[in-house]
Amino acid sequence: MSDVEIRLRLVAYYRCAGHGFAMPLYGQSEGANTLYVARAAVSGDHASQIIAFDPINVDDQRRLPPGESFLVEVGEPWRDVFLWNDAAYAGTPEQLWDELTPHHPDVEARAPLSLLDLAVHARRDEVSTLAGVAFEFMRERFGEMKARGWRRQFLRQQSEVDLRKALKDEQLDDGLFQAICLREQAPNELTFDVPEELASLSTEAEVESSMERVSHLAAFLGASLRPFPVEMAAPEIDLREAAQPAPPASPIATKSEDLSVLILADGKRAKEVVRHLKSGSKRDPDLGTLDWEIFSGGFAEFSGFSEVRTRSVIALVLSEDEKAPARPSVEVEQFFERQAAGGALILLVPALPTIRPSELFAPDGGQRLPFAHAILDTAIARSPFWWGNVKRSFDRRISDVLQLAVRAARSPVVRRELLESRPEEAVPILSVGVVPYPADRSPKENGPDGLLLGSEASCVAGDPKRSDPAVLFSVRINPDEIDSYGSATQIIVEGRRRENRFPKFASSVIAPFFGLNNRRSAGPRARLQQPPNLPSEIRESMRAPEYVGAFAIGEEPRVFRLAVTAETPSLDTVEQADHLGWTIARYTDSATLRRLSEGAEVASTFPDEIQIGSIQSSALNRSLATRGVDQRDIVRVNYDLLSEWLDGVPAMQRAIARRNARPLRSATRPYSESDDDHLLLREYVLSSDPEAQRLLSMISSQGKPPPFRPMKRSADLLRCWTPPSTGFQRYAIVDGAVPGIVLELQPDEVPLQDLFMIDGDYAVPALFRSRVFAVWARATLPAATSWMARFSVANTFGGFPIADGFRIVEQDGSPAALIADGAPSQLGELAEEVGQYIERALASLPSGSWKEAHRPTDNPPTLRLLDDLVLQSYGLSTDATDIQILRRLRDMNAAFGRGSR
Amino acid sequence: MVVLKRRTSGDPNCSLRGRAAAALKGFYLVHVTAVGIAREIIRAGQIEARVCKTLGTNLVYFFAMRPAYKLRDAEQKKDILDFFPFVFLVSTDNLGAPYHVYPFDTGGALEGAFDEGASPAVYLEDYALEETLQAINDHIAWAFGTPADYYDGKLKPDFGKDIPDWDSGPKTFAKIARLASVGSNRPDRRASAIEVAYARHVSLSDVKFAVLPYQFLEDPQGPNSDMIDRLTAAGVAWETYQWRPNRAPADFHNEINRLVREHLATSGQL
Repeated sequence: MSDVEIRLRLVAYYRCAGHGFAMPLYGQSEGANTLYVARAAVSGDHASQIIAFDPINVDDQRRLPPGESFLVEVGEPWRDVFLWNDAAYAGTPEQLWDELTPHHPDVEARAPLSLLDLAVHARRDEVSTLAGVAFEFMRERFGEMKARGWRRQFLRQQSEVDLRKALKDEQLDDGLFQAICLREQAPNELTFDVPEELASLSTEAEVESSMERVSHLAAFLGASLRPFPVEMAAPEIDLREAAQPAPPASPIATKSEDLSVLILADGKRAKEVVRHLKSGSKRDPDLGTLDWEIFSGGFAEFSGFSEVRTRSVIALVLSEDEKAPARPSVEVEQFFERQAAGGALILLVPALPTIRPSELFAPDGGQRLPFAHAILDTAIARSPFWWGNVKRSFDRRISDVLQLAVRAARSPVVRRELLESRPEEAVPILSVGVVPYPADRSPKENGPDGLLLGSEASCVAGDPKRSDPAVLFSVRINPDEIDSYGSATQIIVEGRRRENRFPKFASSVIAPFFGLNNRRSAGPRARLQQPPNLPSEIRESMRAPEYVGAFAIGEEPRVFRLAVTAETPSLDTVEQADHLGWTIARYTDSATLRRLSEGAEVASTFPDEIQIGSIQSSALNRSLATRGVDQRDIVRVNYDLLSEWLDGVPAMQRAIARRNARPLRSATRPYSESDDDHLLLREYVLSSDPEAQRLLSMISSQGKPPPFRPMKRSADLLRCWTPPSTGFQRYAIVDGAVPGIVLELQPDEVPLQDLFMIDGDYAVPALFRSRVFAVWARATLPAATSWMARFSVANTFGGFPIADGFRIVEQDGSPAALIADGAPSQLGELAEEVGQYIERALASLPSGSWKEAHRPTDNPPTLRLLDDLVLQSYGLSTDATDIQILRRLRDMNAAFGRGSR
Repeated sequence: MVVLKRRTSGDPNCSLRGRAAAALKGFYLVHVTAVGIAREIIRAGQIEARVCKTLGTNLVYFFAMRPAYKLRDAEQKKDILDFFPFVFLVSTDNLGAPYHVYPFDTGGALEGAFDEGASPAVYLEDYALEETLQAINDHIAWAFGTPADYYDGKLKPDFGKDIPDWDSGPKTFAKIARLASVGSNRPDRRASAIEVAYARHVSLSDVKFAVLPYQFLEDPQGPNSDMIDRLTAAGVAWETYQWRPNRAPADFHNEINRLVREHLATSGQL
């Protein structure tokens, strides 16, 4: 044995099953390619020493997480690896027993044989009770005969180990120990059958004491074992108690035979969520066919309350509208109680109000629905720890959570855990999720502040070895277990106590923004100070003041106080907070958090996600802006094809034909001649006009012909195709860009849907490039989880108040136009100067920097002067803060009144 | 030392054939594999024929009745299969004719495990038995006497004594087979385990009995172990052995041998 093979690190393990003891594997370092197994001095004895390391061929081992390996030398005690809930615990059996203490009830319920094994090796007194539990487990699942067979094997193996230990100095042949037999001549009466040579040594003190130990173990397992030789008396242990393990808890209908799922949606939000689910039979490779029935008409309309069949899962998707009933009707309640009694699992599924947390998650929430077994944590759908497809919309994410929960609810363990009554406990929260598997590929989970399925409703530490009192049970379903869920993901199902841990959750959400996870890079700004108390005035203005995390970030003198909320803060709250020197942001508002982390001016600004109440939308203001044409309503061609076609059109008809073609204007640049930058009306291309048919064949010869389909937005198309009235300039505003980006269009240019078209005079660039519009646009942008935020005609433009001095003029046949006939005379000059400044910037900067060109960072005085003029026209002072501007616009919008809508 | 080699030219002299005539008696074939592969077998519902590097054909290997493991010298690298065996007993009823039958493990033979008994004039192919189940019955009757003695690796007490020296095939076979006997210096049960290869996949429905580590009795995901559920659903009887991370493989191999022996005895095969 070389020096290398005397001292190695325990770096990996090979597992037989996904739980319990695994085979420890050793190597010179954590990444070692050559692996070894340890050889124990006494085969099967966990208390014996390691006498050698033998190299082994293995290629599908699992590594311990980095930093968890440790050195072990020949001569040291045997080390074990024990797996539970996907965490690998390594150490001596005694250490493992202690480390796993928080999980003992869980292991006892789900893997009692492994726990008994651990207790025996750790020499715990608990063996006396665990043996009974293990035997009962076997009897209940596999019947009396199998249970006895397992008991004989277990005791035989234990005897073999004990005899080997007792006789290790005798240098006996392995075959003698292997030949030990246990016979069960009569039920629960076991006798040894051992080779002569062993029997002759039975009077030795060590043999006697080890046989006595095995006899005790047998008694705990409900059998009497005569030590050999037969003359020795059985130990005096009251077998009645030990042999009759505790009766199993009252039988619970953990498995409803009916594989049907009923989804009941009550209220508007709930309806929006369940429309992503489909009724009907779904074939599941592992679970058989699940029959989904979805009813989205609300409790009041549901007519199935009298049905007698018991469902497997019933999910109640609940809206929390103001007018939702305080308690379901007696008939509804009786239905659910009947279903629950029949073994149905009833889940409450909050459809989640979009701007605030669900009240059902609160520690005292959900009392009006006492028949439920669990409340599904749907809030994971808007958490930064969302496990699913990030491109999904919010409602679709909630439906994904629901679908996963229904799958998880078919697991017998999950059913048992949820259906088992816990009278002392409130209805738990059910957290479900998928994480990449193996878990060590997921740094999110393993970080110091990592959360496992963290949401506003529930969060526990991500460390799988945690022992969090909030966790009632934790089940993991691995892809390589035979009940496979296919891909390289692991399903996690946890039952958790309802505890408000929002401050901890909020701290985990903001940690990556402020570099709080990374201690090495933490600059002065990134320091998190002792959490201050949030002033009561701010709390009082909130809808859910119990869901807020208060932080002081940075170091004196640049410390700012940040309140992270679960609700979208109202303008009142933002004003109140600003007044008291606080910044407020919802945890989902990553744009604002990022801005704050980048050192942006925090005072007097409002977060992107802000609740400004319902916006009045004026029909006149709406008529000002038109969204660019839908891609599907036009056909794009290049200039060469267009010219070739026009050349073929008879000269008399050419002018008319030309009206069907327009140059495209995109946000980045004017049209070019090489790309497909010319637009043709699809309706014309597909028409029966002979020229159009010639055009169609030319397009088809170059590629795929456009399919026939109905128009998407014909009114917008028509407006974009109609040139502005004489005397007006056509402008385009880039969708979603704040501050506003205004482009000047040539009269015949047509924008696509990423631009809004507005006609007018210099009032358009003056107003839509101003801070005032930027404030309005930002406050009214909807919070989008999965796509770029987009302006809306109704809110961004229809709700935007037009100041005195500006005016919208309606025109016959053409879109409305914005003019500044009452504005100060210098407005036009300043607007033109700013325009020229931007033109120069566009010309000098590369085309990739077009956005920067529109936002002059050196802040030319003219832009500032123009802004001042616009502010004044809104009755605001030139030093007005964003919050003041928003308040003013909000008030002006509220005054729109019904008359102008 | 003489090395047991494959024939490179000429026709094999199958001198072990027709040495005795026994009654045709059914028996199980044994397939020993690692737990990880067994999981795949149960999931896929069949023991898949995989390409045999030596013969270049897709084959499934079995031993007649006996679980045999690769127990190599201590100096050699150990194999994970030795530590996590999973044993399937397969009925021959629906399998048809084997692809080949040898009186020992050909893999072990070509690795040099039986070189101690080899002769330079006898090539691997010369040991081949006829590709029938009858030939296996005959071979057991000739060399061991009874299936029970075959299972225990006990050759007939006087086996080989009456074989003249010039009859080198049977003579060297007797030497090799003694390596599997209890009294051998290097006991290797593969040396007399009859190898039966099939050039086809074998369905789980042909499996009659399985031996697996006890941990599959538990399934933290449910009240019944999936592995066991699927075996039961396929009509496969099963037993478990007491797997321990620090048990010497020979110890639980012995336990497995005992379980398989008991099952064969109850099935009337021994």
